[in-house]
Amino acid sequence: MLRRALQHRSFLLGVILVGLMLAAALISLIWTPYAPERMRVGPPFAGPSWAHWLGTDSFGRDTFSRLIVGAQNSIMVGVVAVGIGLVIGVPLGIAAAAYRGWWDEVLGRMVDLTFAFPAILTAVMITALMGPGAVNSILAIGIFNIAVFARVTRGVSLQVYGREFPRAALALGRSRSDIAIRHILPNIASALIVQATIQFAIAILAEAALSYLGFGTQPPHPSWGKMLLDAQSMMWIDWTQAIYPGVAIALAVLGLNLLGDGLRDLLDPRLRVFRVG
Amino acid sequence: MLSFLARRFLTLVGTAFAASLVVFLVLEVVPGDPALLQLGIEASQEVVDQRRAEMGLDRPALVRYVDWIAGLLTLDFGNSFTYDTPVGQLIAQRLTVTLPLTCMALVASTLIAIPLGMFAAANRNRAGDYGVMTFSQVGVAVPNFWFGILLILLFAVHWQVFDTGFPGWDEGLFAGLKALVLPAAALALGEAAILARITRSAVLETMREDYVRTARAKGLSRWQVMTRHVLRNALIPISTIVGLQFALLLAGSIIIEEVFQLPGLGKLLIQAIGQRDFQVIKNAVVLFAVLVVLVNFLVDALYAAIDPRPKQA
Repeated sequence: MLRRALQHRSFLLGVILVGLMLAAALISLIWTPYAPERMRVGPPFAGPSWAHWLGTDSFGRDTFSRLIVGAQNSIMVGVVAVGIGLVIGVPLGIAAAAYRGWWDEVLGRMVDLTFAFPAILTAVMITALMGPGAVNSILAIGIFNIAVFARVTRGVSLQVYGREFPRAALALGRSRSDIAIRHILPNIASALIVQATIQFAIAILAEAALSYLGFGTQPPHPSWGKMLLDAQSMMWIDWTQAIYPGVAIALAVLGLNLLGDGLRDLLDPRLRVFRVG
Repeated sequence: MLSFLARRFLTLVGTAFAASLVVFLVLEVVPGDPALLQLGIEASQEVVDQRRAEMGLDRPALVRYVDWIAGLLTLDFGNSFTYDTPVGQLIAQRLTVTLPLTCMALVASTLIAIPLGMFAAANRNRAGDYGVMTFSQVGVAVPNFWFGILLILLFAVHWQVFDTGFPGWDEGLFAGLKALVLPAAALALGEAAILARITRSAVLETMREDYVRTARAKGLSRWQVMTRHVLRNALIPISTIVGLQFALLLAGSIIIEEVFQLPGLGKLLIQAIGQRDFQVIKNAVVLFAVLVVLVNFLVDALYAAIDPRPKQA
């Protein structure tokens, strides 16, 4: 397994990119070159230099410091939004596969209904109503993830329930929840891990989009989407500031997608990844 | 076939109704008072009551919902609180930007992705294939709004061959279409990246079929086999994805219109949210949802027409 992983080039690239993002976030927890929210730590629009590696923005804030703190923000959004989807969506999906019947039908309809609203539309609507902010945008993305994980879990669980050992366990008198935890979950874990990686990437993209629209993370706290919005209004003066946050988002998403595809190849090549945005 | 379509149509109607119910509950019942939200918490009770009466909010929720749906069915969407014009008129006006934008993006995405996917499949595991797959990975990862910003940076700021914003269709067809070129390109990139990958795998799957080997064996050239046999069959799965992409592009237009400052439906929605104009928000959101389920229905119908299998499903 390890040898196959080391030979899988795109998987390795994914590991490196995701590792870089994690490292940036972890380092920024204990150290940043300048306080990311402090204005005038240098002249506005200072180009890259030893003092400011990626220059400064229109308020004279240090861009590199803001960029690595932004990584924290993206990771938190991804972890919580995917966590919400897993914690609520997986039990719903397993229950649908275990009981079938009307419960399955109701869940299926609700998932269809969620997908009738494109993710960005749901997110915009929810944050608009509950008020903009990081927490609300994470919730909005999380709600969409519940539907994704419920559908994926139902699909792969149905296959597992169709095999003999869950029926044998039932015949031996095991409870349904016991079967779900001991037999179904371990067999659908690889599908869930792969899907979680992809949803993590989608969550980062969605949060950046919401922050760009002004519904996500609020100033002065740095987020990559908001940094792009600020940079766009100033790009007639300094275009370089519009480059860095975009590169950061793209590399993070690319890394997660490569990691997800690589994990699928390594864990279960026949797995179908569910992609919906 | 007909019963399949009838069932799918009932699902469509059901989903559309459920969507309207969710939007209504979320917007008008759960968060409290739209009048208060609009006027702000400093407003006096009298002013709020008067506004509530103007907005018809003093009536029971059920009556308001039935009224709204009856209005929707007769294409009467009520009046916008902030613009003081019929919402239907506002939406119709904005659709003249959003629909062409979405269609241009769809055409661009399809025209780029299908040749790229075929090229990659024909050169499987060679440099060309890796090139296309790299494009696909990068295209999916680049946020469309950032790509839009980069396009503005290059073509509007640096070379100054395009302007941002929208001159309106009164300025002529060419000026209008020209203003939509960059936004459509920004919108198309991500979908083209996905579609190229799907085309590649659909073509590869078809190339494994017996009739393709037979066609090669009877002496047709690779190009002839590719266009006459492989592509025509691979187009069945591809066409369903293209249909689904229309919905995704429509949703993507919300943010792209913001990047390029285009007066489309997405921009209307964002503005209405800023102004707490619930009359506009609820109709625009339901319209988006109805368009999505309608497109899904049309895709299903198309699929049923060209492929016999799902009818029994």
